[in-house]
Amino acid sequence: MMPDGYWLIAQEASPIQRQALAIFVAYTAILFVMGWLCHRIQLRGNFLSEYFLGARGLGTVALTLTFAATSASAGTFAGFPSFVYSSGWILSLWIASYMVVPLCGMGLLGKRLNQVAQKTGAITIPDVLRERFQSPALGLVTSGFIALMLWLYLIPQFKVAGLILQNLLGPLDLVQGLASFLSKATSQLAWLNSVDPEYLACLLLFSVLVVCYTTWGGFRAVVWTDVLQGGVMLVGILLMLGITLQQVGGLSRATEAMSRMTPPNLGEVRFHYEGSETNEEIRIKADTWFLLDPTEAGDGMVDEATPIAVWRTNELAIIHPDSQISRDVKAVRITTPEEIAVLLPKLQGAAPTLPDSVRVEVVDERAYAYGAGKRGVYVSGPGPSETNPNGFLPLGLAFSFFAYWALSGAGQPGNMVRLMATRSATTLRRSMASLAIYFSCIYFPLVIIFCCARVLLPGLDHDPDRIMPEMAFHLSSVTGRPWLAGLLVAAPFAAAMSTVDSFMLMISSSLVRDIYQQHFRPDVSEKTVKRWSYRCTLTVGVLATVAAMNPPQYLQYLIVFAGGALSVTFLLPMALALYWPRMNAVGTMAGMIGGFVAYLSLYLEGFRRFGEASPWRPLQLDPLIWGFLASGICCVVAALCTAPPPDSLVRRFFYRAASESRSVT
Amino acid sequence: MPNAEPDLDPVFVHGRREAKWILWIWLGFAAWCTLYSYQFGYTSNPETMTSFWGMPTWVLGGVFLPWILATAVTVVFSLSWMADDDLSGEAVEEVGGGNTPRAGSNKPRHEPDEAAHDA
Repeated sequence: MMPDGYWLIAQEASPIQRQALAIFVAYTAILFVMGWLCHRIQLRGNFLSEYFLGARGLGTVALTLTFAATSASAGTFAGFPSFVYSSGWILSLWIASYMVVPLCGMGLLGKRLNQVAQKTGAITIPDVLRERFQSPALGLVTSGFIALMLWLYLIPQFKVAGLILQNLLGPLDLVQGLASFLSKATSQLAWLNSVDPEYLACLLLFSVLVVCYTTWGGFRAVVWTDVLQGGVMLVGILLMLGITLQQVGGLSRATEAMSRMTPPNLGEVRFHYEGSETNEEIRIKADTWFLLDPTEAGDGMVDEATPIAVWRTNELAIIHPDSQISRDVKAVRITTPEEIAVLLPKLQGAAPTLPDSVRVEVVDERAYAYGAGKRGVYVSGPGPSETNPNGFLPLGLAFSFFAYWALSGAGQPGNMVRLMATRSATTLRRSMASLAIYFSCIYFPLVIIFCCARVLLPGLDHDPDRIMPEMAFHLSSVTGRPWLAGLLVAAPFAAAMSTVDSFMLMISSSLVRDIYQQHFRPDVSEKTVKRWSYRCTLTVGVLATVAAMNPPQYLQYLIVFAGGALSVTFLLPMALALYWPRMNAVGTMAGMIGGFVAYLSLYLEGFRRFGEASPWRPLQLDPLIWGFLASGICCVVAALCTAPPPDSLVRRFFYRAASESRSVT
Repeated sequence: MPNAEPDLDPVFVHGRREAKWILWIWLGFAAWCTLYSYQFGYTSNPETMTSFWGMPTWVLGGVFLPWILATAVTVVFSLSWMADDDLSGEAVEEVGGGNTPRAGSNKPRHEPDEAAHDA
């Protein structure tokens, strides 16, 4: 029996959006106050240490939540829920290695990295490597690489944040006014005139907010806002979990319903107006349900077992009066008999969802590459896939992802900087324990929530990235608490913001500190460094905003590529630099380049083989695994084939200081 | 170069030992989750799958239980087993703190800035 509670037709959400705006404004005010307070603190201390590292003063709560908020990017609340919605319970295995992320991400390198950073006075990752090997060239390469990869990562984050805000605030007068101003202002710019002005307005709102408080408040502001955002994410998800389980009638009921589901067919439909002449355009809202006789549905698949086909649009369709036809819009055809049995009486008994004289033509309809017509695919491996005939998560890929989240997290420069900023080993140890509990309360509940979303909100499979805000609006609507939507949607927004601010600061530190100051003006005054740091953070934010206005294709691809590239480049060279006395600058450089080249090659080969943005995975293992392998081999071989590091360096980083030894003995 | 084991930096010694344990723990949970899930979640007939506590039984045994155990292991490992080392290094000013020497130079460094505030 399918649970009730479907949203048959997209609903107006104005009261919800007004409440969401109120929460957003309050949230923004808090962020600005934090930025101002942190700016005041900066004025009292050493600027560089304060601006880029918060004066190494992170306590347990701050470290836990800033680590969590930085790890949880916009993808955690947009991409991941959409994967769960599309492929079901298999996503619990896909994300499972988050169970050991605190252990690996903090424990593998944390104490040693913090110690070496303190020993050398390093503020950034390039500082650590440069001082560890006394090699300015290594520092320069590291800085350039971090700046480039983080830049690639930053653009999609801005875009996702703009989309989240559009979902949240889009229909409000304020945004509509700004959108129409921008529409006029950009009408002459060929580069921008095809971009949705509503999205543009929301992107600008987001950018002004995040660029201002990051530039103004520096690392400490980023950490404080991360603490707030980490709290918002936790509260939002736990609230959502409780309400979702109540709505669906318990997890058993949802899993039972999912076990009977078959993947829907995805397609495109076109609407024709066949009535009398009119001068008005006809709008058919996104998420509108409609019924079709399969034999009269144009080019669609005919399913003789089902007397009538149940479809749902996933995009807005507009029929213009001159052409009397809409463009092709995404739509989903439900194929599970039990779902159809629940939907049909409601749709047949309700008022028609399409205006009179509108005819539907199915332009294209296709089944899933894996799982079509098979019951049980949403509760078993490898999970249904729209494009991959081997399923969503073949075994080799499952192992790759277990390495990906745990080990790649340890290799992210953004996380390493937080380990350097930790106050003491005690703080690090307590944070590991707290983070393990925090992640357990975030990721597994997300799987449960969006498995239930499959049952509560069927038919969004052609645009599943919207599932998080849709669920937030749905839950607040059914519980009659509009403020809830603001809080729930603030969670992904907070996640996007916490990633963006810390990455902006890292790019800025790479440019100002590691390149300008170290290589061009070592004797520069603090006042000049301060001025350049503000300018640079501001410029990075502005450039990322401009790039996100009309971003390139394959954004998700860029996120995955840049995140993996940073890990394969830095994890093993950094680990060996900290734990292997025989490691030298050549080995480190070789490991960085070798790992990156191997990783990049598999992506390029994938593009050549498949003609699309998909990496080649020999033995079904992700390029990340091959990148780690290549990086490790290059590190060891190059270090052993070249001169060992000077005794003075080995003594400094691997042995007690002489005075310390004497006092101990 | 010193060669006596007691002279090794204790943070290095402890960190290396802990890193090895962490890698073994990671490998153990990776093997458990992937092999268990494959055996009971991929190869059995999905139409006859059973559920427990509302989740498919392979999720319970292959993801949920190891997740609980991994969280417990992390808490015990970090709070009881990891050494509480003193991480403070030689007293140096932040590199490039306005008058910093280039890497490799022998210019003396100054005391660290004392203006540390809790975040």
